[in-house]
Amino acid sequence: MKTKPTKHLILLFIVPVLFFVVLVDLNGSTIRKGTLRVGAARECINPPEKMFPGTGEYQNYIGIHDSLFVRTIVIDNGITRAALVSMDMSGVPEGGFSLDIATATMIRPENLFICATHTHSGWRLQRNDNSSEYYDLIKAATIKSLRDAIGRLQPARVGFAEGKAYVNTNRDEKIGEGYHMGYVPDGPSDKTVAVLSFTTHEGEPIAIYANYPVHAVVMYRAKTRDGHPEVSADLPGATARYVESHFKNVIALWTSGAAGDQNPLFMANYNQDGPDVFDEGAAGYAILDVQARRLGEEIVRLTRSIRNTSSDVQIWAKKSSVTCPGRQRKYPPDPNVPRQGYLAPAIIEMIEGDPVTIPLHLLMINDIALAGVSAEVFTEIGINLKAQSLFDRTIMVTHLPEKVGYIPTDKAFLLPSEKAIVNNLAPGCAEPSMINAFIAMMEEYITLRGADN
Amino acid sequence: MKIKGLIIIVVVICGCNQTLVGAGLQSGILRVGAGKVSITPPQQMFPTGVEYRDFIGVHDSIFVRSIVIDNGFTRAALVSMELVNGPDKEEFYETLSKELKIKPENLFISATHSHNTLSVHQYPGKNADVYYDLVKKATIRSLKEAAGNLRPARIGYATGKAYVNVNRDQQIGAGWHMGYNPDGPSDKTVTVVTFTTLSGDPIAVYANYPCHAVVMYRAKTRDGHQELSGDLPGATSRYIESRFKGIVAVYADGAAGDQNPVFMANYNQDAPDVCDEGAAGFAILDVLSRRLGEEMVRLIRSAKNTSSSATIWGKKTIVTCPGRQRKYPADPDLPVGGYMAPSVIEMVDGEPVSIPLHLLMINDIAFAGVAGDFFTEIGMNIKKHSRFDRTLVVTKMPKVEVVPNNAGYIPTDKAYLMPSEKAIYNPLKPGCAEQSVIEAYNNMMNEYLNLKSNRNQK
Repeated sequence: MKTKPTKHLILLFIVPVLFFVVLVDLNGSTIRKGTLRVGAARECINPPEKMFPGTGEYQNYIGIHDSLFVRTIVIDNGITRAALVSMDMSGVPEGGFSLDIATATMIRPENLFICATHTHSGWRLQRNDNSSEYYDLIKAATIKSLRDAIGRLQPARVGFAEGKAYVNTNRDEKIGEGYHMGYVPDGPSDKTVAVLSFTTHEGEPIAIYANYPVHAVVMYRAKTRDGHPEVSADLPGATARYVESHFKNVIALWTSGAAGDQNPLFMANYNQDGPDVFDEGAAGYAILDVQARRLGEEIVRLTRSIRNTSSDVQIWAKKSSVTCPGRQRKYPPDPNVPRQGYLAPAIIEMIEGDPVTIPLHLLMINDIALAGVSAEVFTEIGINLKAQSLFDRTIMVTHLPEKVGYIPTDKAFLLPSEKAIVNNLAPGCAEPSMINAFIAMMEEYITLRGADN
Repeated sequence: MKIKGLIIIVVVICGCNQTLVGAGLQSGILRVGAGKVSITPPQQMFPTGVEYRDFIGVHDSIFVRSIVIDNGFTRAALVSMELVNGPDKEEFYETLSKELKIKPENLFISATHSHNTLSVHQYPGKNADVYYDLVKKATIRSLKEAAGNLRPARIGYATGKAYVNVNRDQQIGAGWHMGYNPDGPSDKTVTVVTFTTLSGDPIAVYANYPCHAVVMYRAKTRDGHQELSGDLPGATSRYIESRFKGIVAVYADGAAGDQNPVFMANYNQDAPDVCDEGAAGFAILDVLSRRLGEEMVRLIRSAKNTSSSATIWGKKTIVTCPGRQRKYPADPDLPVGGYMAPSVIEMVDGEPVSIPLHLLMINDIAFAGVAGDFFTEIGMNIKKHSRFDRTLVVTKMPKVEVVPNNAGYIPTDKAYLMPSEKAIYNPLKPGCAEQSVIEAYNNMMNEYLNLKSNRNQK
């Protein structure tokens, strides 16, 4: 039996604590930990037979070499649900696609972390084409994949590892009068492979979220069948297949890092912008295979190396954006000049243009930061973000929805890189602004989760 | 007419003067010629029936390429044969020497070590003799073609880099095997010695890069069989030759004992998940050779400080190191190439091992040759400690029957500690080879410098 004064003392202690908890919950100002559950799934997003042949100089596909997929991982801690999505497409469909997916799956838009692998051998939707049959197919497949993943939620652990792979290279090469897409082995290049693994409590992999900075262009422009190119998920698809073949029932999401100036070490259409371009044709798939194996081997090794996993997680996400001064071309006025080619003019006159807004997206899973950018970011910006990040475990993911184009370093504007010379961004803003914006979001997360940490 | 006569007299006097002054080592006006003759085996020699080299036919022709250099006093030749190894009979080289009137020490011959070819003696039965004759005649023809085309020339030198090789000592299973070790030691240096006409048109290039010629090794490219190919050296030479009119591109392997191509058609050949890309593997060969060839072409075009006169000097020597032999496991086929190979081999003292070395000097360019296969760091250290900035290391020089216990792989001492697959049962004892060969090359270089110095003093 407790005495009355003791009861009073207990009440005196409990009431303020309850009041504090209620206050915190009402304000949504803390991030609670919960037991992690994870599910994963994938769905084919191949264009139907009747869509072939494709149109366009490099997209007149005659058929499918290897299937395109949307792959999803749903993570849930009992309090917050989030989803990681990777699509074998050049870009995430526009026109409210992400919002539609979020609504259909009841995942809050800021917790839907969606990106494209940027395969150049995928089927390209026209900008804002949200009324075609193929758009509907992709939407339905993405929703189904997410619902399947939700249906497969099981207790899980999350882990992280980083390694290296040598299948990318800087591509800003001086060819003819200007810098074009070529081969610069001594240029800046982030070789980091990052792996986020989700396993059962017994350690069996459920899903892998892999990240590497390289353009998915091994088979781009290669004529592999009857003088035509074929649809392919390229390096991301081949790597994901390799990883999935090395674990039972794993779903391997491949995401691109800061690859704005990074190409594969070897491409089937060799020297695509050089005077001595050469198409290896269908044999180019051997070039794709060996590079995917090498990258896949490192992802598999890293997945197996992970030791410090966690089954209790905080999940938090936020979207933000930065706006930078813009510019537009004055000379030459023809927007098709400079064309891709070694004789492109090296001097372009740019004048002030509309400001450019770069959408950013941060997803935190404990101390793992997924820093998403709706753009194609040059490799050194990714390296610098990771160097300045408040979290050792930071991954830059690119090709998020509503892409704004390439984001070069200021150094790349000085070359000028082919992707800087006509860029709508004025130099001097994007890199520091994006890094500061990510750090500000991370600080907010740190503040919010303070109570639990 | 009178003027012509005057010129001839002046030239003759000038030549005599050089001869008199350069009693030991003369510098003279450089003349260069080049030749290239096929050594592709005839159709009746296929299939070859050798494990991993059971060629059903020819994918791409193989050649012997020669550059003859002459300064009016000394004639030398740089020869590259697209074979795993050059012929092992002393008679072969004596014949070349006699036929071409080139002293043996000035005949600088190496093999490209393409694993998609066979050494002469590997052909079964009478085919070995048939092929020996074919290769001998082709080599003589190639050299005579080169000697017949001698013309005033300039020599240049340039180095660059190519990223198509990789260290191959990877821990797979219980031991270190041929795999992929991208952070391991690897010399990326590409070296070219260019020979042009006086007006700058390329006559020949001697191109050097450390990489095993194994892109297509073990790949079954036609009807479940392999095909004969010059592999990376052959494809790279073809690339260069397609870029310059009339050039002969002589490819020589560097210190590649632990260097493989960055990608191979038979992917992960010693690992559990080996994958044969088959005929499509030739696309891998093509892109690798283009990348290497591009760098060589760039270097050829970049060579600026060329010289039209040359001092030519060659010398051979042999370094002998303590040897050893395997005690356990007794079976010489163990460890076989494979990830389950035992990692412990017991070695006991054995016969001393010979390492034949060959130095050819053209002005300040040192061609440091070895009848063996240096690990890459030995090549780097030879260059680092050389008396000449312009030093290139050439491996796979001929191993002739008269040299006892000729070395094969020559690993670094560090490689014995792993132990590398090529060190674990190596007949060379660690602790001798690297230091001794560097010293031997430098002794020969000192001798050359002394001879040059004597000439200059006179």
